[in-house]
Amino acid sequence: MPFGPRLDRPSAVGTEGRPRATSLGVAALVTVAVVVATGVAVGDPGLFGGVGLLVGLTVAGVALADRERPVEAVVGHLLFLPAASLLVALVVLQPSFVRVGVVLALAGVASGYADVADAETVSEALETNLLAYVFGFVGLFAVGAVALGARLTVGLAEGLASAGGGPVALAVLGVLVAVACGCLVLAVRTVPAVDLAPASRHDEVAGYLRRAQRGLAALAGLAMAGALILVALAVGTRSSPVAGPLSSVGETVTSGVVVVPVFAVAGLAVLVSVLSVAVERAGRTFDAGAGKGLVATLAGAGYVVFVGTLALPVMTVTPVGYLAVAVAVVVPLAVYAVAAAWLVILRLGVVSDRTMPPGLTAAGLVCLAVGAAAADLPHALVFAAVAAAMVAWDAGTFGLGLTAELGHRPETRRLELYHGVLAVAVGAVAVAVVTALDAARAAAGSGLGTPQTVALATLGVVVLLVLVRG
Amino acid sequence: MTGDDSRPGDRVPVGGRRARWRGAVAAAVVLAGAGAWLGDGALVLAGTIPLAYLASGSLSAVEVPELAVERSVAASPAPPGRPVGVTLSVTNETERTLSDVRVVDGVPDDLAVLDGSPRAGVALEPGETWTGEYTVVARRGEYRFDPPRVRVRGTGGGAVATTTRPAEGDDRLVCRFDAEAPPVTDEGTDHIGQLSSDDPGAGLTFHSSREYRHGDPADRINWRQYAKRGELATVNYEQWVSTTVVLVLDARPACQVGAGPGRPSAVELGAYAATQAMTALLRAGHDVAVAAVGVDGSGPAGTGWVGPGRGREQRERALSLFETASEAGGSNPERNRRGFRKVAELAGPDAELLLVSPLLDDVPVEAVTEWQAFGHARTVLSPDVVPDNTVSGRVEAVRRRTRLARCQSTGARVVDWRRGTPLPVVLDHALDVAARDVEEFAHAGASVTPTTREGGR
Repeated sequence: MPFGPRLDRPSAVGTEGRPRATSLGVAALVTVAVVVATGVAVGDPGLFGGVGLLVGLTVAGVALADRERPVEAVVGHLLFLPAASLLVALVVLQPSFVRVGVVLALAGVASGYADVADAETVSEALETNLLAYVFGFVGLFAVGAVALGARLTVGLAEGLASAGGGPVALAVLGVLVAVACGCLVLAVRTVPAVDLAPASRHDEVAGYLRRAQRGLAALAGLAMAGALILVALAVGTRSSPVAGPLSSVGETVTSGVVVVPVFAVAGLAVLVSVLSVAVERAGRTFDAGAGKGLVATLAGAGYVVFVGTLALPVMTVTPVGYLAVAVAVVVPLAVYAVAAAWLVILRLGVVSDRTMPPGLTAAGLVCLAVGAAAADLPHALVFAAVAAAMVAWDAGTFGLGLTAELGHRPETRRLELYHGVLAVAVGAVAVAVVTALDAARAAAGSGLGTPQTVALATLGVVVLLVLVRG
Repeated sequence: MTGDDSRPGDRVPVGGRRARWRGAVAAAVVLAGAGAWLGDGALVLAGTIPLAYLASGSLSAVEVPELAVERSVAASPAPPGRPVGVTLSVTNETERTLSDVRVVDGVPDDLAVLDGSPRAGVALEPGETWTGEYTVVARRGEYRFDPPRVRVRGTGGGAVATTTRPAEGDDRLVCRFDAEAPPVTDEGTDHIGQLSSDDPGAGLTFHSSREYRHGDPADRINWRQYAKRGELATVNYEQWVSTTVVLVLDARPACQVGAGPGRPSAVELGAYAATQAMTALLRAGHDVAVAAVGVDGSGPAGTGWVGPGRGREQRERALSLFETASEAGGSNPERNRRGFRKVAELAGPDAELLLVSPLLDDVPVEAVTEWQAFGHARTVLSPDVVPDNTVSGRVEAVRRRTRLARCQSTGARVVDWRRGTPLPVVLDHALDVAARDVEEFAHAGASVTPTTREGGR
């Protein structure tokens, strides 16, 4: 393994899996070289670094999402969707063949290394991730509703304070405190704190919790009673001597500085309760479905935190924040569309599970070549991209064949290097010849024929070779 | 591998070609089409690059080359459970470089590869030899290796030829219970037993000295004392005694399991351990009886039985019984329980019982507990065949250790034969324990603390 730890779990001998490491290394090397050269040619030297990072996170996310351990799976889902969404956004915002080609080529290399291009892995990761997305979507709405409720409550409290005076404002605060205490009691009851504590401290923790519940219930009762007394006071003593001081106190306690934290505590307590119950329900049984539910729940909660963290700073300043949230919600749908297309290609048998990574790399590099030609980049880059596509395909499929026939145990580096050097040599000769022909064509003007006639000649050669050699 | 076999010098038929460049055809068509569409001549020219690969693959050809294949199997015959190294060599005897040679050795299906790989992919220059090693786990029987299959590809990997090459050298692995066991004479060694007792007499270890009596052998006279004091004294040594040891092999169906596919079963390992123990005891001059519980025979309660005896023929009879035991076990649980009980009844009052069992259920534990009533010295030698890489295996390992502890709590000596340590080391422990047991028998009343020894394969 030349670069970092492997993310797949290979069998000693198997017909599936990724190519041997050296073949993958050769394919990765030529692909990265062409992508870096393309970045330099288009004036964006950070192209490989930016796209490579997102592609790497996306593929690592899929690989980890396939793991059995919930923590690894949750981390995988938390990596996958944000990175893939940013990748899709990157392509959609500045669409070009070059960018699409770079993304596809790097995705092919990365998925080959992680051995995650097969239909089973993708579909399982997609299934759980879709569930996490739905949970996150619902959670986002819930958080939005809580935020909206907080805002309305603050407005209501301020309105009541200004209309009813200080006693009413204090009564509203009392009701809010009582509700918050109720929510905290709910959270204390649902969070499995006793179970999470060491066995030796179960009784001690249970005692703490009982005392906390009693204290919170007493506080809620006191707050509610105080609210009722204050309402009665407001109704009966509008012109009493205490109205003046209470009015000024009321203005203070109904301001956002006091109400928002109380409401936040209540909302957080409800959120914790819901999560605790959801995780407890999902983890009650140990079958695959329950595991997926647990992972999806935790990942969905992570998405809510992620989107909230991103959007909150801008939401308070400008409506652009709402747009950001909307984009964060919609872009994953495009990710799922791409993943679904990936699955359709595999299910239809256009490309097999095994050959998907080298096929994707080669297709990406061909796409890059077309984009480079369309963008009028140097012709040498176009030729190099096509040759790199062939080398990536050749080395990739050769390494896959080795894996299928010999498994992962035997040392085959020399054999692979021999084949890789041969493939690169054929490509180098082909590029040199084609570059010379291109130079001759440029020197002779249209003397060598139009692109259409050359294309027809190429197609004729293709048909001839196919007929002759199968 | 699949594919048509070919003989040296054969040209590979078209059917031996791998279609690897359909993608290149598609790429050429796409590039040419895009070039025509965009009116870009460079793109059209780029479409010829995939054709270069297609052409190189099409021009690739291969012949089945002259390859010399040699195999050597270390340590054959080998005892069950022993890792046996296999070395495979392939030499390119042609005058050209072979860019892609893949070899798969014909490992017998019943043997598991423990380490390394019987497969290889190499590039060989003229006259170059590749050598690979792998390790298989020996199981009782004789296993013949199939000839290695060789697949050769032409430059570019388009053309393929597959053939089998008979390997020179070793072509089989033989595994026997008595492999590496030293020969047994009819009379044993010069000593009468090799279990020492506290009784003074002839032996090797100094015990005491006493006044000389008429007729004492001259080699036991303490000549140094005579030189110093002028008094004759006779040296006593710890006396070596012989005893009867009954080897009880647990060969019930519950023990016909191994640690994994291609691994020897617990009965095979037990039979191997019993064979080695018996050889050591016979060489020491002890009488040895053998019982195989779970084998239909003429012994007590219908079990396999070889009565007490010594010498070469005794070992041959026991080996025959062990081989029968390793193949199949009786399936009558009640008869097996009776068999364990009857063995203790048949053993003489001074006999020691050595039970060889993987302790995969409670039956042998109950037997050891019952034997306590007969007053026999008991030793349990338990080969460990429980895998520790699965949850169920770990649970079973805990159960087995509990059974070992239960055996120990009855006063029996317990030796846990772990995987990873050679059997002789374990037997040293077991027989050392047995020697001390005999001492305890000889001097009843001595305080004894049972111990558990651990060894491994």
